[in-house]
Amino acid sequence: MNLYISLRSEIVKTKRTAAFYFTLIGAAVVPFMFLCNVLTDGLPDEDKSSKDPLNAMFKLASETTGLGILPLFVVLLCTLLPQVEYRNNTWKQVLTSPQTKANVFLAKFLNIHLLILLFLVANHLFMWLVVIATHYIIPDLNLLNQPLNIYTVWVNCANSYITILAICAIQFWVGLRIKNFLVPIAIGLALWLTGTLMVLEYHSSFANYFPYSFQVFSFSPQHKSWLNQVAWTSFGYAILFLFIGFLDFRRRRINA
Amino acid sequence: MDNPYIIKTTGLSYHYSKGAQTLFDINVNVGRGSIYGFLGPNGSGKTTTLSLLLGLLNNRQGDIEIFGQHLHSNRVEILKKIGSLIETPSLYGHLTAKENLEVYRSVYNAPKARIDDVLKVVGLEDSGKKTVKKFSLGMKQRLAIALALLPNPELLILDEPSNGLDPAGIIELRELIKKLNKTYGMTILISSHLLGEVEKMVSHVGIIFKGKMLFQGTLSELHLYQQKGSRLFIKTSDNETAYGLLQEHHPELAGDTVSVAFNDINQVAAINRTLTEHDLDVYLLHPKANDLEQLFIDLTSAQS
Repeated sequence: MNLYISLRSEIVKTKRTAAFYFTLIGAAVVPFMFLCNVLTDGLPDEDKSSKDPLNAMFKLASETTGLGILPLFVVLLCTLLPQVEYRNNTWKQVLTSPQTKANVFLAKFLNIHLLILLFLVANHLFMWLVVIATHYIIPDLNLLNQPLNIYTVWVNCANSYITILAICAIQFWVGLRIKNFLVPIAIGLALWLTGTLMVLEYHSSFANYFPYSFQVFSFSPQHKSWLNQVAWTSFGYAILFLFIGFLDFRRRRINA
Repeated sequence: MDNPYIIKTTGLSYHYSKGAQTLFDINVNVGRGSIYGFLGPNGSGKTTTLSLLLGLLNNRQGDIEIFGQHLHSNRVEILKKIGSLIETPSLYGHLTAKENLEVYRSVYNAPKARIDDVLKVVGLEDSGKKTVKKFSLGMKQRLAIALALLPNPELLILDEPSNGLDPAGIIELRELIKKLNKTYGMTILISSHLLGEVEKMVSHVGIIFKGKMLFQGTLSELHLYQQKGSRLFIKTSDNETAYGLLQEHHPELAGDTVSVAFNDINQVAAINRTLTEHDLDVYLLHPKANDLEQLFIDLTSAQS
């Protein structure tokens, strides 16, 4: 109950923040690209040639979102939300209110997850809008009358979420710890780029243990066999870094 | 066993870094129902003490009891009954006044109507949909006080609440603090570096300087201390003789000046008459009334 109250407080704070707007904008990026593509060149080549263009569209959208947009969004979100307290000089008010530090910490982390879930839901809703628009722009495809493999959509979405948990916990810790806005983002971007290249370019076996590589395992066919192990590792890292982050948060003197 | 003090610190010491001690053996006793002025120049340790009282800093040495409970074992329960404003207002610029209060309403288990009540108390009931970043500093300060009042606290801790307020705002704040104390029986701990600003509302005073408590007591005890400290400085053609003539006033001879204690201005005239009647030429007769501001400066500068 107390955690729910702390979470409610965090949700109210999120109103009209850049984090909230970025969630909706970030969710719209891939659907918007699709729409632009449909309006200018028709469907992407692989979707055109597919016998199942509707599922091909969702597959491509989930790959683009899961590999690039979602990790970058998480890095940004984990920096923007703690910045709400730093920028407004409100840490001292938060920490002198009758909430335990554990509740404050967990409520902030859960709030990030609510926004990630909002991102994923909004992303799929925007994709549906693009599908509806495409149905009328290219009537030959008859998209709305084709069956969508909801299970695959759900599995891709769940895999994206689970493999991103480790990055989320690490970036949350970094975002809480570092007052400067740019440093956590720079760290996140550099590690994401390193992690992605490590899997796709260098095929490093270390990538199986490097959290910023995990998102690739959901979509790369040659790495799919490792997905189950990577998903558990991501979950384990999330617990570990959440715990380390909390110990650091509890110990640290907040000046702002 | 009734504890007369709502706040009681015992031997409180603190250092931010090794070798740089900020507080030394601070014993603050704030009685229930009092308005306690916590005074000291900037950098004397006021905010550090208040941060320790609110659990923002972990105390390194000494003990803190609030409402008769140890702070560190009952932090959340104690904070439910405290409203606070530490230094600058802590408000979310992207939210309206009501939304800022809504952030903490459930945390303090306050009813919805309490938001309108506290906004009315500080005169911000018409702030509407204006976000806080568009507020003047005075409005922000008033909203921060509204936030401190949200839990209907038994204890209000205000750190330099008049910072940024214009003279009219300072007077309004003073009246508000007196009203909260009188009408709702709130105990108020208010810090300031200006004695003149708080002496019109406080019942008790604590003076801190360089991390050490110099004085603690009621305002009348401080006045008594003040009266004892008032002195008349005299220079005459023969200070030795003057020193002899003024024995009943316990004179002190320092350099070319004789000084005596005095209680009212009529005594100054009487001393002058005594000196002239004994054919002494009086070159200087300087009554140094030790007002509270002067006393504050004396207390703090004597230690520097």
